[in-house]
Amino acid sequence: MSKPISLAAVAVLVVLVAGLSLVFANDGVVEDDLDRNIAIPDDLLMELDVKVAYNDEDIFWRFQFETDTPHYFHDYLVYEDAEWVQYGGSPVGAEPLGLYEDRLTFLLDDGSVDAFAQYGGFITIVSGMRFFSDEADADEVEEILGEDRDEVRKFLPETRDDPADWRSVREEDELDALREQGYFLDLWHWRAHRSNPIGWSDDQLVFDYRLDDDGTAPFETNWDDEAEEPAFMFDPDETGQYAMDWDRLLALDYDQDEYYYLSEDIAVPFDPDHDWQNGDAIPRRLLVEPEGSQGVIFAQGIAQNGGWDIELQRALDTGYDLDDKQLAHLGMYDVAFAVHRGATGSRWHYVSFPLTLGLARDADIEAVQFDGNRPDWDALDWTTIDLFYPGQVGWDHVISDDHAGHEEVEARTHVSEGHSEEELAFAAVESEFRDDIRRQWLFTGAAWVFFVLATTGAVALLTRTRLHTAGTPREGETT
Amino acid sequence: MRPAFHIITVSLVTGVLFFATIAVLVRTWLALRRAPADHPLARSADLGGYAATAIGFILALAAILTGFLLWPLDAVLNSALMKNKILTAVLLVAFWGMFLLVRFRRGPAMWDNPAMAVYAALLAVSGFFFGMLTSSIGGDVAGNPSGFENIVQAFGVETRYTFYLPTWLNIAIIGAGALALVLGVVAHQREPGRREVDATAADG
Repeated sequence: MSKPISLAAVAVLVVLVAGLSLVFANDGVVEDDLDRNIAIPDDLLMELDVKVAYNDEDIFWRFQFETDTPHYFHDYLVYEDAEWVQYGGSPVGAEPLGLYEDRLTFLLDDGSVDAFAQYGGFITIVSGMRFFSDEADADEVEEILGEDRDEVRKFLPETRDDPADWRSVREEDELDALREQGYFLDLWHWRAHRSNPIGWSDDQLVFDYRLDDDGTAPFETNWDDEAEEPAFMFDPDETGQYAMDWDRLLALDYDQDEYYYLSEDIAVPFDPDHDWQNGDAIPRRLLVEPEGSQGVIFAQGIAQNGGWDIELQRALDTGYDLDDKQLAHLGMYDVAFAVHRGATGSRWHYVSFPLTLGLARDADIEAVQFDGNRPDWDALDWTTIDLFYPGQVGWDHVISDDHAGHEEVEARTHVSEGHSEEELAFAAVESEFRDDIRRQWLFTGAAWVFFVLATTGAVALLTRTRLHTAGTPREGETT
Repeated sequence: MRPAFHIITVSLVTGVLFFATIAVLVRTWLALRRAPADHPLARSADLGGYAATAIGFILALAAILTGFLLWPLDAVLNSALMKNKILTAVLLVAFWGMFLLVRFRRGPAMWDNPAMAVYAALLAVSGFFFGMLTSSIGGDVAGNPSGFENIVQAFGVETRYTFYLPTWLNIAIIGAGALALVLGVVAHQREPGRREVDATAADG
């Protein structure tokens, strides 16, 4: 092959390498890996609209967010060949049948929890948590955290001797004192299936674990362990049905006006003698009116116009000081939101930066005071909040030397000063493939450098002016 | 180390290598116009570009060093932006390093061959492009994105992810490099008259 042709071939190689590098940039590493609890959502960002108002007694929240399919279905028991089989639950990523409820949650604080105002929910997360790739062993968790706690869930840094280690739980008396000093986060927890149908929101808190408020929850498990069948079924006189139709459920065909849920006012004890047919489906949750501190938030969520329209109402002061953050006229608070949509549970949610909430005060979200029983929502403006997928980034990483901004964290610089929501969403995805990406990045760098060196060597050889036999002058050759 | 020291070093690199790029482009233009090697502008552009590249190359190495001193290595390797910055900086050094090597080996005669001159311009422009990219990412790291990354994004590369290629393509790139080398060596070996020259040289 002559030198000009070889030179042309090298030029083609250069163009090919440059073109393919652009086309296949960032390809080949980021993909779902269910064995490592990794499922990357299609959308890394979403928006949440919020309005807040209050009167002398209550605070009212109004939310709207978009979703392709509103999921107000949860888990169900389906009759199959004389057995009741459970469908639904919390898998890695989206529930494949769509049987997982949408949720809207927010953490609320009155300034008692250090770093929450700057880092929001990130302070409640560490490595080893539920559904992380390095999820802690259930037996170890139960041994350290106690019975009924076989997963590492949200907790606050100062409930541990080492904030980066979920194992280092502080002494009981110290925990009690912290809680009495208001060191906890109020967790408002709206559930599209497990409370919304009966007009309630769940109410929890984050302290040394994610805890229920005192009282009773708005749902129970509808299952009789001994008989291995549902404990309750639909009251046919009230609902016109003994059970739902599994085929319609699979098509998510029930609308909100129908009985897609089971609550105590439309339920009767399960009748094993009924002529059950394959495909009969009964909700695995029985909705009950919550009591005590857990039953203080009224809710109404309506799926419409391609999303959810949700209203919450709670007393400004619930009287439950160990469970709820009390609110007052002219008060300033910190709040961080999260949304589960697309039939996802656990960590597959979208979260916000921490924001300020001011009651008749200038803040990120300003709650407007009004007279009367209900706010005039149309007169209030929406505040739009950007939410992002947070991946597996935990507080242990944020405060470590591995995080370039850890000194800013120590100085309590607000997260928004160092990152945008979009940046954190990208960082979240990378966090799930940290080692793989680093290895591939090194490989890519080495391949490119070799190509530059090799191509230069080739061009140098191909452009060397032909040497003539002794006695003839050389043309511009010094090597 | 204070970030300002790194910024100063980077500014010097940018300025010096910008001058080098202009000089190389001017010299390439003259080479393509078959201007004589002793043309005053050709000599100035060659020497100016060579000197500026040598200084810029050393400054670029210093900038990489000062950059690494700013943050712990683990922190650097956990940041997509920082990893991209390292990659572009290494490529900057590779491109300019190759230009320096060729100029050092060939001397001013490198401009006598139009293909070599064009390749030298390609090295310079590539080096300058990756220098711009490196500085732009640095601005992004400091919270002041320049907008230059939008140009890169327009080509389909998401700059907020660590840049990497799939394994098969990395292997293909290494293979392409090896193939280019083979083409160069084979074509050079088969060049008529080479054997006689080599023999003459050996005798001498």
